[in-house]
Parts: sequence; structure tokens; C-alpha cells
Amino acid sequence: MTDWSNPWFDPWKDLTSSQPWQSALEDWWGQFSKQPSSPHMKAFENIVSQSRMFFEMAEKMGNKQALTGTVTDWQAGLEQVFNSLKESFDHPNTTQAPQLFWQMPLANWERAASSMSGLPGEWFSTHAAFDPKAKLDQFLSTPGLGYTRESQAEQQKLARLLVDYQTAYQKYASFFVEVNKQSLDLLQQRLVNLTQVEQKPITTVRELYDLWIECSEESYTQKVLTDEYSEIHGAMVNALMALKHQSGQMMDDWAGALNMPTRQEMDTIHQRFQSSRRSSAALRQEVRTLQAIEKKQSDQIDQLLSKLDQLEKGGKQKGNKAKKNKRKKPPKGKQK
Amino acid sequence: MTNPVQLRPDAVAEEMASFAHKLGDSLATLTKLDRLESGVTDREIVYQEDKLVLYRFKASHAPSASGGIPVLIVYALVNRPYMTDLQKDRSMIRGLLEAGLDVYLIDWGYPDRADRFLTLDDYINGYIDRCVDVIREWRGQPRINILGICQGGTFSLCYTAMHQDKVKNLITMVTPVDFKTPDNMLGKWTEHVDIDLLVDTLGNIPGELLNWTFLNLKPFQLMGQKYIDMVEVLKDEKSAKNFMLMEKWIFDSPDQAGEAFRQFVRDFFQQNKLVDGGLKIGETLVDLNNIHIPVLNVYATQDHLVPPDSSRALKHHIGSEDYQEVTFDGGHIGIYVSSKSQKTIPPAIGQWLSERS
Repeated sequence: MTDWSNPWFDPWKDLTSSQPWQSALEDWWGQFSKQPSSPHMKAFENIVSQSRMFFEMAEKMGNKQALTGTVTDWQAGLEQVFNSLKESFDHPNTTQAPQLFWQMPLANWERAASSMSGLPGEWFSTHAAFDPKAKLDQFLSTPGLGYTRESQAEQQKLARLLVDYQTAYQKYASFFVEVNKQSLDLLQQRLVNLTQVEQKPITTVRELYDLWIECSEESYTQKVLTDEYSEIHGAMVNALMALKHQSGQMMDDWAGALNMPTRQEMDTIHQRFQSSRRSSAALRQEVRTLQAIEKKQSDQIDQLLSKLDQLEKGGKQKGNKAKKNKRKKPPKGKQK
Repeated sequence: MTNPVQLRPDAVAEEMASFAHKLGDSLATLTKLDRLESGVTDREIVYQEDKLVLYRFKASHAPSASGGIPVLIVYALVNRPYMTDLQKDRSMIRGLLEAGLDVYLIDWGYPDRADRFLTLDDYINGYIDRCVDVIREWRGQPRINILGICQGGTFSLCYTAMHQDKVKNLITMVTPVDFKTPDNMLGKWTEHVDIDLLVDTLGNIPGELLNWTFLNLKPFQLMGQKYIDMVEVLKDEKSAKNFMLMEKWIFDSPDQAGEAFRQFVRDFFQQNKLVDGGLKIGETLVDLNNIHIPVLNVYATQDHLVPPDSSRALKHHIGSEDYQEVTFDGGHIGIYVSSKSQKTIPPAIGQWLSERS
């Protein structure tokens, strides 16, 4: 195995003593990630990505005069920091570290959706919601013309479903903006509480980070257990599935036109195959049961035969005995 | 009133420099790790069918507990069962062997598109039943013990309700029973999902979708804080290996056979039929009240995946008068791998079974 530690990790440690941490990490990671892949590269990526956010938080919080200023102006300063963060939620920039933190649940969905739909995960997040949707719907409802009208109708249907998914996705994303704002409010409350009630100010970035996580998780849990979230979540999953279903059917049509096996045909084969396997398993079970019955009956017959044999032997023995006795004892009449 | 955030620039610089060094050390440690192997206890294959493999674990001494009656572990379909045998010092299997039990485990394998039409009936009345029969015949026992884990526990409950004549004692571990408790996130999230459309579209359900769901139960902790925590401990190679093994397991989610998944989500999560009634597996109606054998229910108090109330509901729905609970003060994963659970859970199971052999 390649030992990468010296050429790559020592320069990282040197870099961090001279540059802002986050940009140092980005510079170093830019070089490191080009190297031949390690089996654990995904874990590296996750650790580096989270560390980047951690550094960003340290740089932002550590330099905020507002947060380290006088007793009288810290509340105003805190308010300012939080307001600016809340504003940034309305204009997301997915490349900034704090945004990456707040968008973890959303980014997670994008990865999952991408693996299921074949579209790049960020595809939908980088497009604004179609507006006005009604106009687009009207356009997409225009009947197809001529020889290819059926295929035009299918494509229009696909486009409509794409718009529906985009709308559902935007609702989902907006919901998370609210979750994030609520967790910021909670964080602000907790910070105030720390000084007013617990008299225990935060003195390390790690403490602040942990509190941030705790508040985010608490707000998130509260919100995702609501009926509102359940509906938004269901609508988004259903919209993606409807889109994928339609594209799958169109792919099937094309595959059929090219004389290739279609998904529908494969499903039919698999269904019949499974049904046959089920029947054969049942038949095997029935054979085993019948064999067990047959064995039991055969054992019973053997036992009966053995008993019969014994009886026969017993009978013969009795008969022989009787004959012997007959021979030994002369008839009474002769004795006389 | 003092400022709640007192971050002195020099202290922050020092903290970040220290973190940066740890980050460098931890990444260096990760590059030194070899391929990760899990499933450490010696075992033999007893039975194979399709992708299913039934293992028997080899003990260093003859089974002494539970009168030698075998224990079959039925694991969930949604993750891989090597979590029960992750490392030498983190192995529930090893603990059960040391408690004197004769241990078997079903490994479901990785279903592919050809398995799409496997139903819950195929899994429960088919695969599980045949594994039970194989063990009964092999060990010459009319009835065996079953230990069901998570979704495997739910399957074991259904199985026992239908085939009680083949089960001596039942242990359920972190098992969902009531899928509609107020804190059940998965139950809430599936309420409005069109499960027919989902399965008809995807066929099998990708493991990636399940990963997304599980990570979303605690997204900030599981996708963020966990990695920052790790930077603090990864300098040590053993900790790094532990971390990477766990990471491997978390993302090693098999795809789910479509039809079985459809039934599980619809009948259990959406309609809660296991407790509300009306659940049918194949042609048989499943009634938990039919279970009259001894039942041990093990659950974790901080389980974020299967809320404790969901597991505890079992006592209100089974017919057995011999019902006991064992509480573990930890989470859904910790119950298999934490050093605390290694010391308490397998011995408790061993003793409970021995008292009922």
C-alpha cells in the first residue's frame, strides 16, 4: 500500500500555520484528491467536508467583533449575525460552508434522487421554480399533431411531470429554509440562556458547533414529525416516482421499437419465474410430507408384518408343540 | 450579563491549529488501513437457497445453555447481519456462544431484479420456515429458539404466530411492533408515499434510498457531527478501524425485493396491521394473540430508529403470560456493538433461555 502520509499530510500541517484554515484545507484537498484513489476516499471526503464547515465557523465566529465586544452590544451583534444567516437561507449558495451545513438533509435527498433518476442531483436545485406554471401547463397541454402525435403527447406528459417534481422539490427546499430559521432562533435562545440562567458562556468553537448541531437536530425533529412535512415529503417522493415511471415507459417504448427486451417483459418473466418457484417449493414440501406419510405407513406395515411374522411363528410353535404332544401321548383308547 | 460567546482569537487559533493537526493525523491513519474484514467468528454453512445462506457458528465448547436447543437469529432485510459479529471484542454472536448457546444465523444476501417478486410470504413462510425445519431436523429437536432482530424481529413475531409448534422460546431485539407511535419518524414519513407507484417504478428499492432515509433520522449528527468527532479519535489505528468498519456497515444496504417492501410499508407502516389486526401473510391471518410461548423483548432506550414505545407495545398484544423485557441504555446500533451491551445482553439472553429449556 502507498504510504502517503509524509508527502501529503505534513504539508497540510505546515499550511495551516500560515493561512486561514478553510482556504488552506481547500488548497491542500484540491491537490490531495487528485492522487490515486484510496479505498477510504469517501470517508476522507466526508471528514474534510465537515472540517471545512468547522473551520469556516471558527473564522466567522472567531473574528466577529460583535460576539467578543462589550456587554451592551453583544445582543445586537448576535442579532446581526443571525439575521445575516437567515437572509442567506433565502438565497442559497451551495458552495459556501455554512450553507453546506444547513443543507445536509437536502443534499442527502439530491444524492438519493440522483441515484434513482439518473439526473445529476443538483439539477433541480440550480433551476428556479417554473413560473408562471399555469402558462407552461397550457403550453404542454397543446395537442400533438401529425404522424408522431402519440410520441409528442408522451413527451409533453414527461415535461409536465418534470414541472410537477420541480414544484414539489421547491416546496421541500422551502420547508428546510423554515427548519433552518427555526433552529437559528433556538440557537439564539440557548445562547442567551447560557448567560442568563446557566452563567456558562461558550469559550471554544467546538462547544458552539455542538450547540449548533443540538439546536438543528431538535428543530428538525420537531418539524419532520408534523403532518405538513409528511405531506411535503410524500408529494416530493411521489412526484419523482411519477417522473421516473413515465421516463421508464418511454424507454420501454424505444427498446421495443428497437426489438430489444423491455422492462415490462422482464417483469413478466420474473413474476412467472417467482410464481413457478413458489409452486415448486410447495410441491417439494408436499412431496416431503407425502414421503413422511409413506415412511410412517411403511414403518407401520413393517411393524404389522413383524407382528404377523411373530404371530405366525407363535402359531407354528403352538402347532408343533401340539403335534409333539400328540406323538408323546398315545391315544387313550390304545392304552386301554 | 456576560456575552454568551467568548471566543478569544488566540484561543480559537490554538483550537483550530490543534484540530488541523488531528485532521492531518487522522487522514494519515486512514490511508494505512488495509481492507476491512467483518464476520470474525468461525462458522459453517448449514443450508443454502437462492441468495440465502444459513450459518452455524462454531463454539470452542459444546452448547450447555438452553438444554442444547438451537437459537436461530433472524436479521433484518435492510442491513447486513455482520453487525452482530463485527469484531472480536464487538460481537454479539461471540457473546451468545460464550453464554453456552448453539447459534445459527440467516444471511439474506443481496436481492437483485430477479428477486423483485419475492413476497413477505416467501420470506416468512418460505425461507424462514425452511431454515427452521433444516435446524430441527439436523439437531433432532421438535422446536427451536428464535432471536429476531429489528425487522427480523417483526418477521419472527409473524412466524411464531403462524408456526408456534416449531418455536420453543422467542426473543425480539429492537423490534418494531406498533408502527404508529407519535415519535415514529419512519411511520410518519411513509404516510403520504404512494407505495404502489414507488415499487411499480423502481422494481426493487435501492439501498441508497434506505440510506437516505436512515441518515435523515438525525441528519446533522449522522452527516456532520460524527465526522468532526472522529477527527478527535482517529489518530489511533484501532479507533480508525472501528470507525471505518461501522462506516462500511452503515452504507452497506442491500436493495429490497419490491413486493416484500410494498407489503411491509403498506401493511406495517401505513396500516399498522400487526397491532390493529387484519395482517395476512400469504393466506394466513397473523394474530399476535396466538403467541403463547415465552417471549423476551430487548429494546434500547435511546433507539432513534425503532422508538422504545414501538417495541414495548408487544406486551399488550401477545397472548403469552411469560413475557419479560430487558432494557438497554443506549441506541439501535450500540445494542450490538457497545462494550456495555457485550457484557449484559448475551448473558441475559443465555440465562433467560436456560431457565426455559
